[in-house]
Amino acid sequence: MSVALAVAEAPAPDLRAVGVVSAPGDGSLDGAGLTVVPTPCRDGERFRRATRECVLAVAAVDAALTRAGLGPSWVAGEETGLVYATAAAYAGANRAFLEDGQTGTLHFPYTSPTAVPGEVTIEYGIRGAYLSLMGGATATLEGLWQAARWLDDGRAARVVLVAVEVFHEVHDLWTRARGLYEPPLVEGAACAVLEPGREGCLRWASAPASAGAVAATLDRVTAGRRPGFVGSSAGARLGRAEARWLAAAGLGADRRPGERLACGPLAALEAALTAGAPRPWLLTGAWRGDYGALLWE
Amino acid sequence: MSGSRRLEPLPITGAGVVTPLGHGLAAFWHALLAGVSGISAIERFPVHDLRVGRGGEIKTVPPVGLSEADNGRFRGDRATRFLVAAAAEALRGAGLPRPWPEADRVAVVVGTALGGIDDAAAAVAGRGGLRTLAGALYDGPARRLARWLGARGPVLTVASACASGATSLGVAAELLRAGRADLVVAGGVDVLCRFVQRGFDVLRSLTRDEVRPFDRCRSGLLLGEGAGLVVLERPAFAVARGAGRPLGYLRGHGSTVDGVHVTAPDPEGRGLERAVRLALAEAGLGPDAVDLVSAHGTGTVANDRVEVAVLKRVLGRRAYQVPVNSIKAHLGHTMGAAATLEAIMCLLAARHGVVPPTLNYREPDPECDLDCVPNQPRAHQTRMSLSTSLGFGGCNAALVLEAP
Repeated sequence: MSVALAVAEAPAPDLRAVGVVSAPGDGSLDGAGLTVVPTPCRDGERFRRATRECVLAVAAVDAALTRAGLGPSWVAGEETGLVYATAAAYAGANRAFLEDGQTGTLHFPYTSPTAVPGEVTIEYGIRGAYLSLMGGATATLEGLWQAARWLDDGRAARVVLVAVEVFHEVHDLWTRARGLYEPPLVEGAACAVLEPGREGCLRWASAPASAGAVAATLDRVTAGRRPGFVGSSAGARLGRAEARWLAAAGLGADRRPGERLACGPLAALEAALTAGAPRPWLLTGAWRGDYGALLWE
Repeated sequence: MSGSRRLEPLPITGAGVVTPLGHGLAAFWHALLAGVSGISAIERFPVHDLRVGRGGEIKTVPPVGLSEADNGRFRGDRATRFLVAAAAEALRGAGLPRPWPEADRVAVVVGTALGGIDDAAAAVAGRGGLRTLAGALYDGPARRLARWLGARGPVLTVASACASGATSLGVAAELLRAGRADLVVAGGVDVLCRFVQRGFDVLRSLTRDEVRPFDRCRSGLLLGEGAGLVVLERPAFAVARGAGRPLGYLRGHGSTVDGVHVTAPDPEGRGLERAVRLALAEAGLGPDAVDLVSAHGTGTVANDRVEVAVLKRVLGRRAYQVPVNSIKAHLGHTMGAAATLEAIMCLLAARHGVVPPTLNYREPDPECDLDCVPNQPRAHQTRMSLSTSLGFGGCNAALVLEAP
């Protein structure tokens, strides 16, 4: 089937900071095929009842701000937008409530995916534009593009993009759902802080996945530009089609072991930043039959 | 930050609804005007151990008009069946075939507060296979709808709790304006289930009385279920394909967060105020242009008070001159579907020149002293509507809609 891809463009934002909270020795996976990230300690009554994914999200924002040498007040106020992406960080809280076990009166609000961005906004006083997208790596890439639009048209002066995935509480369900992803699973939380950029363009496209669609997407998004970094969250199956395209272009990709779902593209961004890789950066991802690629000039 | 960025109005060429008042725009509209309540004793799941066992339950899942081929393949959950029925009506109204030949240019954006919760309950209980597990995710219903539509453009699921059905329309507009799709099927859905009924029951948010938005004796909300979808198109595309007169136009959207509390609205309503101001700015309109407000109006003490205060701040004297209704006493709070159903109500009000009433209103509340269209529909010419929504996690959203 031919692919009539629309490549969406937006002025490339400036990546002010990235923070990733992951397991110690990230990459050395346990025998069950799951890497569990320890929950950071937080003070305060709120964090005694908040679920693990909420605490991890706040820790990821902390990590990003610390890395950039910025205080929490820097993101406070209505000029800061918030984008949240997750495939299933809510699943553990939902299960606990469904099974009617030890959940207290105040647990129910934490079954909502909005609890995570809610806690982040409460912690940092973020009160600007808002979007919460449910999905894996492609949702995060979509979120990056939406954030770039906000920065371009003035809906936000800066954007905090947060992704979280936790699996431990529902690992048995994920084990039964192996057709949806390629194990092992790697928990984590990640945050990118974006500001308006001065030059360049963000190019983004997604399509229902097939080997042909992967190549077409990469052709259209790169449009002859040679990436200085390729961060792939495409998984093994689509990754093979992607690897063929990259090999033909003489490129390699940063592929981390394990499935990080929505956290994947932000972990790749951290790798690009840490490596001091020159732009453009090419970020790819897949989720539930969709493949997407984003070129960040 | 720019205060105004007036954007091209986007035509809404079709709409479809599935509600406790009936399925389809005609049944929905007539019941709204007649003051019919969709609230009843819940029958689909056990409620004997809950304080409140009533809600806006849909007693008969609508036939979805599937073709013979579909019937062999379609195994949707309740949420998906609601969506498919609403989509079928919306496509008919828009004069669109299914599948649209240029499937890559068709996008789907669904807002939901609960996602595939029925499948989640089954999965946690150990029932079902991969299909159930996939359906249990929040993006399960949207993906199933996209499959039914044959849509191959972006498929997005927005979860901003009870504001989801407004944010989804805003995201759809973004896709169209960026040229990523020619048409988007967008809206919201949620099902009434034990999970959410028990959750709100535990929080003591449900009333044992009737839902009484803006009434001095209001004591809480009741939940409902349903789906609302609209077909939004790029204006040039709608013209090129010879689309008929639209139901109306999406003029502006704003979605924001409060940053105050996980469940309660900001007592000052700062996030909602900003969402309304963003939506008006996107529409390039001032407060005097608004001539109907469809409020979130849940009937909780806090929500209605905050909403009225925000409307007074943003609209000024205009807040006292325009009708401000809530249809949650008719439907219950349909969560992810609510904002889309309310947006569709605004379009129908403009088409028919009548505003549906706010039911169960008895005693004025000095803190909610706006014209809330108590108990009886009112003849009123509406050109520009404002619809407001709030949700858990400090989510707020606002839409500005225009009559054709």
